[in-house]
Amino acid sequence: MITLETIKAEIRANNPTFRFGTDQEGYRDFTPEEYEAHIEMVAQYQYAKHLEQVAEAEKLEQKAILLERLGITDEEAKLLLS
Amino acid sequence: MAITKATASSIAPAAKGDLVVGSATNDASVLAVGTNTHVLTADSSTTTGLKWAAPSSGAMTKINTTTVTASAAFNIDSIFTSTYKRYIISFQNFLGVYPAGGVKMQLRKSGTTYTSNYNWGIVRQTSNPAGLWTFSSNGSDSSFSLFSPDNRATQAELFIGNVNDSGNTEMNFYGNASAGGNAGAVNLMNGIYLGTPSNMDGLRFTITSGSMTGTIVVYGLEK
Repeated sequence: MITLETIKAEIRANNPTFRFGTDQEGYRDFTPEEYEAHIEMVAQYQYAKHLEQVAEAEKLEQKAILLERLGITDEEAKLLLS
Repeated sequence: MAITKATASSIAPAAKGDLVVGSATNDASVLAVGTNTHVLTADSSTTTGLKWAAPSSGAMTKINTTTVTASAAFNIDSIFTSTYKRYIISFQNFLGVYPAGGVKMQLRKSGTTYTSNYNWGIVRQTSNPAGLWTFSSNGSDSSFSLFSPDNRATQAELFIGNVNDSGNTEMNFYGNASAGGNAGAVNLMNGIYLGTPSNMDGLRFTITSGSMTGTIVVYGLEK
């Protein structure tokens, strides 16, 4: 399973720097503090998305196992619950 | 005493349109004529207590235009004042460079960004599967979560009220933006900032992956 630290390491590897600013005021690289804060925000966001995907995949897997055990199809299960 | 043309001319200032105005007890000053179409309005901070100023249009005023190119974060400061009660923040051809995440917005005051007490909820209509509506919310977030512009130009409007006032900042977002990578999805977001101070003057935008390119125009609505 992917960890938060793995995601951070990947973001760092893909983004040695981030750019701050606008066309009007110009651009600069993030300061070290800004860089770390941004990595943290981005990693937390991506990690939460990853956990959602894992939970959804587990749910589908459990559903498939249950359907197999009952010997019915998804459509037949829906019919039973309707 | 009747004021004749001769009497008036004897106290008249030098230039056309100049006004003689009382500036203190038993004292007067000359106020030069203002710019064409400007109107006279009271202003206690001036010598005469008056000034020439552009009349209120009673309409929407463009305050700021900011363009960004591949920016991971940017601030738009000094846009909220007591002049306006409500604002429209318009995202024009705004896209997140793939793999783009969600655009997040925070309030600022005097150069400080506030990072807590954001309460928001989003209803999204996705195109895959078509017509599905989903809901997500956060009662105490570090920012407002706006939309995921993905790798396509997004048009969206954000309405902000009470932002430079004593009340809690309120906002509503309407965007024909993508959500979760689904083209053409609609995002409807409502949020409120529950922290202090209440009278903010700027905004900060960040993105949770990739970078932002596009234009943001800020309009003030007359009270």
